[in-house]
Amino acid sequence: MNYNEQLRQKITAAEQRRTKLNANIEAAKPNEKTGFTEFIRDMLFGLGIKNIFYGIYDVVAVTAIIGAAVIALMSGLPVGERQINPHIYGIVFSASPALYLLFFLLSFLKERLEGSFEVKMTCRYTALHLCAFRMFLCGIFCMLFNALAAYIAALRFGFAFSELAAISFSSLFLFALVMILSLLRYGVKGCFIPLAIMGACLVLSVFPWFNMLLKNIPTAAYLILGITLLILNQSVLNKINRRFCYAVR
Amino acid sequence: MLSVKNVTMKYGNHTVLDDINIDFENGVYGLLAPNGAGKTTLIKLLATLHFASSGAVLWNGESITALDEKYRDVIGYLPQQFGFYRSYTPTAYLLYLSALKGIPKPAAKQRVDKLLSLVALSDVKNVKMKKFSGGMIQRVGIAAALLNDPKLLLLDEPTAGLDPKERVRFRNIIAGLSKDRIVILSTHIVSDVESIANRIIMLQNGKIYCNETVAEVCGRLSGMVYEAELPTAETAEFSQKHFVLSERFEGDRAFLRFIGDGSEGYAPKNAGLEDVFLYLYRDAEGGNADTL
Repeated sequence: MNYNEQLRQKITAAEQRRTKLNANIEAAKPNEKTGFTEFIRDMLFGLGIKNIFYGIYDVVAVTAIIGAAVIALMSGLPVGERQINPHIYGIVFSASPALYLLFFLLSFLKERLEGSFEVKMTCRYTALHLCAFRMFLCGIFCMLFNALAAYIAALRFGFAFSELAAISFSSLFLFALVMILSLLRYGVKGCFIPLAIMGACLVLSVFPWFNMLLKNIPTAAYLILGITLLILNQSVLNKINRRFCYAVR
Repeated sequence: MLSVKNVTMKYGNHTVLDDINIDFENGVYGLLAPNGAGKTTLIKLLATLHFASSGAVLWNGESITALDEKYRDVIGYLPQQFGFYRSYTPTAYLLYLSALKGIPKPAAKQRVDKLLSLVALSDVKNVKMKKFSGGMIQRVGIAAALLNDPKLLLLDEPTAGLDPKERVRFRNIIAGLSKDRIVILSTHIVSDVESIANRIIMLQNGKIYCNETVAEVCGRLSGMVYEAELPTAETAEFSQKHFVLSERFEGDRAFLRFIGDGSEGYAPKNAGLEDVFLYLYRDAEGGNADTL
């Protein structure tokens, strides 16, 4: 073997090493689709709303009907009567995540009964992706629902809308965060933790001190807390998107 | 293509898989062990449903965790109990799974039709799955696992609940699929893999006991399997003295297949995979096997 052939072989070997190295570097790079906006776009246009809620249309319908019934009931309340005045803050705090929790409890129970979790976890869009996106959409929907409910309550009972809306906003994302963390830590059983906390808060709302405590927290503090919790929520959802679920599962 | 490198899997203090090393290439691999021996754990590990306590699983030299969705794009998985939406038709459900697998809709429709035909469900493709038998559901599961034309097909106890006719049909499907992909079939039913597996992997106490061809595995009992013909009344006494693999009765005569050393005066028989399985796991209630 002459010198040129040896050189050519070395060059070929070096090129192969470089190709392999480049492939490894590419593989090690974080997935480009790691941004939350990209995740939302990918889910909406890649998978579509129909597939995101596939199999739980009935749960969506039940949640929407209950939400509409609550709004209708509240709208029918007589104006200016303050029968529930002492407990309103506690009730708003406890009831704000109710619709959100109801939706997820029903959808998790349904999906557990169907038993399709394992197959979905081996797909490109896993069950966790679906869950993260549903949480995102449901969070927005419940935020709007709570704002409407707070508006009606403020109108009917003569409270400041901003105060009630801020309490419900922070409460919703507090419970949403508790739920997603419980879920990642304890699996489907974990969704009963926020439900238990919600029940405890409802009991506490009977006591005047709990209502006073909620009333005395400034609206700005609720807003800051709510925004912080919302960011934390998105951060956890984003971690699911980035498949950090590998570490937390 | 697929390599399991020094993988250990623990649940608390219990080690289910202990420093496992296997290299898989195209073909059918029968993962054979009694219930509770770690077959499902290994399959779930390969399906990214579990993560190893230590070690790595590599696909073409890259970690499956790093490959993430690129790896999930090449796998097809049929779990022990295939979950499905009872009030949906197989076509609708498979189209939904195709969407989750990122298959474009026009291609998905063609693929679903083709697969339903492959698993002989074309006639009932628009019937709700709540009316299906266990075997039909299992066939939907097989079709679901094949949606993305996977390079790695993981089947966990795929013949559970199938009648003999359906088992044969399933075996034929798998045999036809194995030319250009890795098929890993976990089972405790020897006949499921004996005729179609290129290699048999047996687990023993969380470790790989053997990774060999059927002939090599059967060769481990070469010259040790005999068949005795006795009066029925003598079988109990004979069974106490020998390890009997199987019994067959014809009238007042009994035919006992047993492990022996040749001193009984019978001619040795060819050992089958079932003989090896029965002998290897004779004391096992979860994979504790003796060494041959």
